[in-house]
Formats: sequence, C-alpha cells, structure tokens
Amino acid sequence: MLSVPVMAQQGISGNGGVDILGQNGGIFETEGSAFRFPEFQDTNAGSVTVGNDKALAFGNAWQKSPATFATNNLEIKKNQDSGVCTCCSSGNASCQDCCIKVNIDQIKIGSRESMAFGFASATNNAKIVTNQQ
Amino acid sequence: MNLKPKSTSALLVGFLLIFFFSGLVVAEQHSLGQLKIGNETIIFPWAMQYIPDIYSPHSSSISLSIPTKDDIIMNSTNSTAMVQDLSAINSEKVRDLLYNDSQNGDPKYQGVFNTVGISVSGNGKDIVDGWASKGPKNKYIEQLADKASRLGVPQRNATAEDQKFSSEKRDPYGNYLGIDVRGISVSAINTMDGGSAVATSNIIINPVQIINLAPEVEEKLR
Repeated sequence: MLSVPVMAQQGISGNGGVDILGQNGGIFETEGSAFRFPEFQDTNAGSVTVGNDKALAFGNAWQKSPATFATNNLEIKKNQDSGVCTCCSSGNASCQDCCIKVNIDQIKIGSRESMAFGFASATNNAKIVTNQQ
Repeated sequence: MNLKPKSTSALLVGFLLIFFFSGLVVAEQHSLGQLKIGNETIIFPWAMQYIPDIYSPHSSSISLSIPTKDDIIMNSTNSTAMVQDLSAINSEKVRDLLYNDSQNGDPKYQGVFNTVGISVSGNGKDIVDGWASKGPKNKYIEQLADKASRLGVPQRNATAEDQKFSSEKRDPYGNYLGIDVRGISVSAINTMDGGSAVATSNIIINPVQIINLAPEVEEKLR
C-alpha cells in the first residue's frame, strides 16, 4: 500500500474539481489541498458529509422529571476494499502498477444543534467509522 | 301599573343572558385549551380539568396517541431518501432508516469498479447558515466516478492479453462512495402534566465496497 506520495505544487485544475483521471494525470484536489499520486492505482475514494441536523425538546415546567426526549442518532460505518493483487514482474515493460493503492477519505461534519426547554432532553449522537484498504 | 311589563322584560333578558353564557361555557369545554396541528391535538395545561382521570398527574408516561414507528430501508439501487421532520407532540414516534448493502464489483466493468452515492435529506436541509448549499456536497466524488465510468481507469498491468480481454475499453478500477446526510430535524413537545413526548430518529448507514476478483479475471489483469 502506498499513501499519497507528493503534494502537488502546480498543474492543479483551477476549477476546484478533481483531476485524478484527467489531463493533469493523478491529481486529486479538495477544498484545502491537492495531491498527486500515480496514475495507475487501486483507488478507494470516500466522502461523508453530515450537517444541519436539529433535535428540539419542549417539556413543561411543572413536570417533576424529564419525560420529553428528542434524539437524533446517526451512525455511519463504511468499508472499502479495493482488493489484493500480485505485483507483476518488473521486467515486464507493460507492468505499470505494482499494486499501488490510493485511499482518499473526506469527512465533513456541519452543524448539529440540540435545544431543550423545560424538563426535557435533546440529544444529537453521531458515530462515524471508516475503513479503507 | 307600568312597572310590571318592565320587570317581565328584564326577566326575559336575564334568562337570555344566562342561556347565552351557559352555552359559551359548554363550548369552552370542547374548544378552548386545545390546539389542532395537523393530525395532532395539543391540550394546554389549563384545560387539564376537562381531561379524563387517566391523564391525572398521578399517572406517568401517558401519551395521547399510540406510539408509532416508521422503517425506511435503503440499498444501492435505492440510495436516496427524503424524510419529513419528525415531530412528536404528547406522543412517541420512532423512525429507523437503514442502509445496509454491499457492492462486490459491477459486472459491467468486469468486477473492478464500485460506485454509489447515498443521500438522506430532511426538510430543513438548506436553512441553517447556508452551509448545505455552500458545501462541496459530493461533487468531487461524482466527478470522479463520472470520469472513471466515462473514460475508464487504465487497468492494472495492461498487456496485449489484457487489451484483448477488455477490447477497446479500459476498465475503471476502484471504489467510489459518497454519503450525504443533512437537514434531519427531530422535535418532541410535551404539554401535559404527567405526560410524555419522545421523538427518536435512528439513521444507520453501513455500505461496503469490495473488489474481489475472480481468479480468472485476476489472472487476465496481470
């Protein structure tokens, strides 16, 4: 397995897109950075975007114990496996890939609000597990 | 002599007024203190004296309506869902959304390419801070998968045999996955003394992408 080897300094597509398969040859650009990696690879690319979630609980003020519950549970567990391969012979001119792998994962968590009024409980739970190999 | 008709008319007016106000009181018992929102009815605390005994303060965890549970099942062929805001008013509501699917290589690409975009969105997805509308969403994943499927990634260790195997088209190789969950809103409102309100949203997303080539395909890709 080979992680992203070189930070791209130039030749990055300027439109904020991705060019890992295009003319610039193996450049992956995200919002904050860009990476160059070999053109021939086994790729796992993942993106998780979560946000703007709300949990609101309005309990009454004369309740002796909380009996108002708003719960927002989110669990994401993703697995990506691009498989295994046997490295080809270096003497083979057509051998372009020695089982190089590239794993790309971008996770963005936006706002998750919880508000409770009175005797009440509001909860946002988020659990994200990712695996790439 | 002139006083008698006056007293009679005063009595009549008095009876009418009493009848009118008593009618109002009866109407109050059924309308005031209650608020209908869609299919839900909120009973305000000051109307509690008209509620039957089962809603007395001594009874606990009492709901006005039967608990409801919704199940949403998603998979790679049904990977987009739009859900309504979950709101429980003096009641109990549960919504379970489950994505649990595995991709083992698209046969169209000889088992070397997986792609899926999973999206779950609620009503308020674009309201707060404009975050959702400004966000990158899964743009790059979409572009990436599009390019992969359109152009094809050079297959591993391409040889003349490989070219024969895949004819003119080069095969994409990799797993491409985008997950987007936003705008999920849950609210619980309890207006009754001794009552309860529970709103629960459970979203579980478990995608698996595996490229597990058959031995003959693996051999040809070498």
